[in-house]
Amino acid sequence: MIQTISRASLTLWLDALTRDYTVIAPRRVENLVLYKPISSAEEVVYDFGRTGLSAKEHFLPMMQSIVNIHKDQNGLILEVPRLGRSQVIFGLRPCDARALRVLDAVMLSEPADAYYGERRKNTVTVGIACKEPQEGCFCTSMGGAPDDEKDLDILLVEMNDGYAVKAVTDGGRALLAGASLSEADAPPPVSKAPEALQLPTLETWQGRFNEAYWARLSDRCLGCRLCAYVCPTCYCFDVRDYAENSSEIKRLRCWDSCQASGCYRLAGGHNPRPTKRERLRQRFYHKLVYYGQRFQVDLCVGCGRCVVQCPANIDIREIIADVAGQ
Amino acid sequence: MEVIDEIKAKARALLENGQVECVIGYGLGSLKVRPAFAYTPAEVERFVWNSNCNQNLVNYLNDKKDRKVAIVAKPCDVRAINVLIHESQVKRENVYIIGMACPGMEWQGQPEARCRHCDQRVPVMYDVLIGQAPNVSVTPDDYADVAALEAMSSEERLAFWAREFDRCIRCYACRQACFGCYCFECVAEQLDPQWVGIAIDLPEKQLFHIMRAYHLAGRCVGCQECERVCPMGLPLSLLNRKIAKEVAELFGGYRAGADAAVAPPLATFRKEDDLE
Amino acid sequence: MSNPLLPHLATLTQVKDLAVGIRLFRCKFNDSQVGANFDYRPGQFGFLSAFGVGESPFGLTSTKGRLNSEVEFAVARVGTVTAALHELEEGDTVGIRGPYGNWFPLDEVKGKRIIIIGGGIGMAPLRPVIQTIIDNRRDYDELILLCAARQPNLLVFKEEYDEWAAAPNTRFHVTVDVGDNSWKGNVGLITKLLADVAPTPDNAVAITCGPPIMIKFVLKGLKELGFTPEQIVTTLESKMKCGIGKCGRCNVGERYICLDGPVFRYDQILKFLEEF
Repeated sequence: MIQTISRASLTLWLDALTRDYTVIAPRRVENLVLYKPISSAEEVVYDFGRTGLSAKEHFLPMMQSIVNIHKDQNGLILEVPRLGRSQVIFGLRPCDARALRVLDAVMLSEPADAYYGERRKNTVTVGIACKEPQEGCFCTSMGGAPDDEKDLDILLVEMNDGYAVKAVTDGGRALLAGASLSEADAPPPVSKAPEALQLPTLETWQGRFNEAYWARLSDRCLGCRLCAYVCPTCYCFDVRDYAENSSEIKRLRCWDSCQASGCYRLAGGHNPRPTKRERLRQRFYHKLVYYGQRFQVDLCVGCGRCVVQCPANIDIREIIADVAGQ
Repeated sequence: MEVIDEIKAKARALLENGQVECVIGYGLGSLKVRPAFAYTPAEVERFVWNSNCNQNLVNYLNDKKDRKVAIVAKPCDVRAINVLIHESQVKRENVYIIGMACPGMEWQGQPEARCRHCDQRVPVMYDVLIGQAPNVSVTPDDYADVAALEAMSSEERLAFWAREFDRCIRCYACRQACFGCYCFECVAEQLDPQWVGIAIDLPEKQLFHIMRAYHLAGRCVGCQECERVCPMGLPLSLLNRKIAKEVAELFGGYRAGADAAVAPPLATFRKEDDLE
Repeated sequence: MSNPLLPHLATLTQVKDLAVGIRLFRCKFNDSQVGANFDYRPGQFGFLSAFGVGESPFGLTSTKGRLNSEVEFAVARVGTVTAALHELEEGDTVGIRGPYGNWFPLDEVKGKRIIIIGGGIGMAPLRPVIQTIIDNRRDYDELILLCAARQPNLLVFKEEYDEWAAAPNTRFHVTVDVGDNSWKGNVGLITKLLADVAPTPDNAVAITCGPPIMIKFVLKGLKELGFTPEQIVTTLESKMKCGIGKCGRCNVGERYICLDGPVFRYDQILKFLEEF
């Protein structure tokens, strides 16, 4: 027996959740589908393949004040901004959920990042399995699967008249308490998975570090930040104070990218990664070599966003194959 | 001979006789047509030519300063080369232009609007011309999109742009893809003095895009690369078209890069100019 | 949950010029308990905030033993944060986070001859090493100190030279790349001084800190003198935004300079894929 939820019950449940939680779901923003807060279940888009951006911004916001600084004649007071309501992320894809496990490795390793940790603790994830791979998808190469439940609190799998529901964690079970569930005998249809790529060995990666390949690849790289910003696992940030006036200052933490020309440039002028070649190589080695060496998981979940969105068609799948091949 | 074979033959010859060290053209990528850099005659084999060769490759000339390179360039792209020559970024003698007579390009399966209105099917400058100018009827650009913008009240226009700019994630793909955005350090990222903060917030986004549009005034050739690369679907070329229209009206129909002999109006100052 | 990115407030108790464009800031934590608990070793660093502009990492310039609950940072004015710090005066408030990173292996090298080679502001993190050796003089064999700067007015801690030179079993040398009218000492690069002093590698460890280009040539010089990579300890410098392994700036391979460095043995550095 499996538990199911009808589309009508799902709508009621989601509407009820919006009363207690900030509910984030795929919804239309002009011509895009993005994970954004919804006020009603009507806004949810179900027939999206992959959202334009990942749900990363709800854990590592594009911009956040990490310290509010009040300055007056009596001195300075530092205050850490409070979090809003707990959030439910609905409609998360298993790859984007896996990205959270990947980010946990760096963000929650000691000393843990308090802002990310707080968001993680106050989030319940409701995933929807992918029926079939989109162009550019390669989750199975990176340890994931289109119906992988293990990084979600609840997994939904589409069926004829609704969804099969599986509460994966206690948090998921608790969230489902208010939902009207039914039962069905037949299991939901099996997801179609993308074919897995052969990953290069560590030795192969190391042996290719100084090859001309990286300079040639960087020929067509524009040096923009698109790949990092659409990526569910890229986490680099910049920090800088922003003075709203002489007494109110915000210490802003904002998204940043390893492809920015000044990313590694020191104030004195020294730049250990001075050209696109070093920066592009750093991107792929960080994702597919170094991160795994340090945290035993790669910094990529195979969501395919960079693959389809890179203006220069720099395709990480192709790089994996090129490095693994001759 | 097919057009692509002519491109390949010319590119091979240029590399074989050492006239250039690299030919920048279009190649077949994993999902789409992409820039291809051929350093050897063998690498020319990957070149393609079809209606998906939208990308303006002239941007890459900024990375190849003072090198001898050849480039496959459509008429709009050649105008961009002219702008870079005027601005002393590229030396004419360093660039071999494989000029393409252009049938017009497609984007997401549809003919590009800019191509439907394009009356310049043969580049204004080239070292070799490949292909035949197509015999197509061209509907003149009526700037209806710009007119709709102009018809708005200033409040409506501000709200329109605020809504559009708000989607920007400051990935700078527009700037990085633009041949005319070659500053060593962009004002948007300069720290000392810091003109634009690092916040990914509406005021900073607005400032960046408006500033970029103004920096392109009289320089934008309308290739619309910025709009095609934008992951958030911002109508960036609308802003550029509005300014191009103003420049044309103010400076006797001036069109950026259209004539190698005409100095760009916004880079020219004459004492008798009306400063209003 | 504790928040490692939240700075502690501190008050500048002393601000003094060390050299042209280099100032020493002595800071007292506003909360004396924080100061008492702020325990650190030579080579570790902290983030110093100039509120309203930002924060940057700086080496802790003293030993805990000499300063008790205060801390010192030497700051060269090279960018926006350092410029803002240089605007501050005694009594002003700063923010401090830390201590971060590893430290020079001063316990492991007890009983050895220590050769310290510092260039410019690179003397700042070496000063607590010198202080530790002087304060525990019998724990170490001979001390050879080589200090350098581009010009005399860029030498730091000059008023401490007498103390250093007078320490038992110590050889002390200074050189500048370019002298001036009042300079009576050595003129020449630190590599020349190193070759002239020619310390032998017997039972020795060399500790060096300075600009990347200096370190590169000092490493070469030490190799020529017969030092093995295991006998050389140096520091790596990197841009940092957090100091706690999150911001993604200081990764060299799987190592983070902020968590696993900034102090590395040369044999560790030789194993990196990337020259940093």
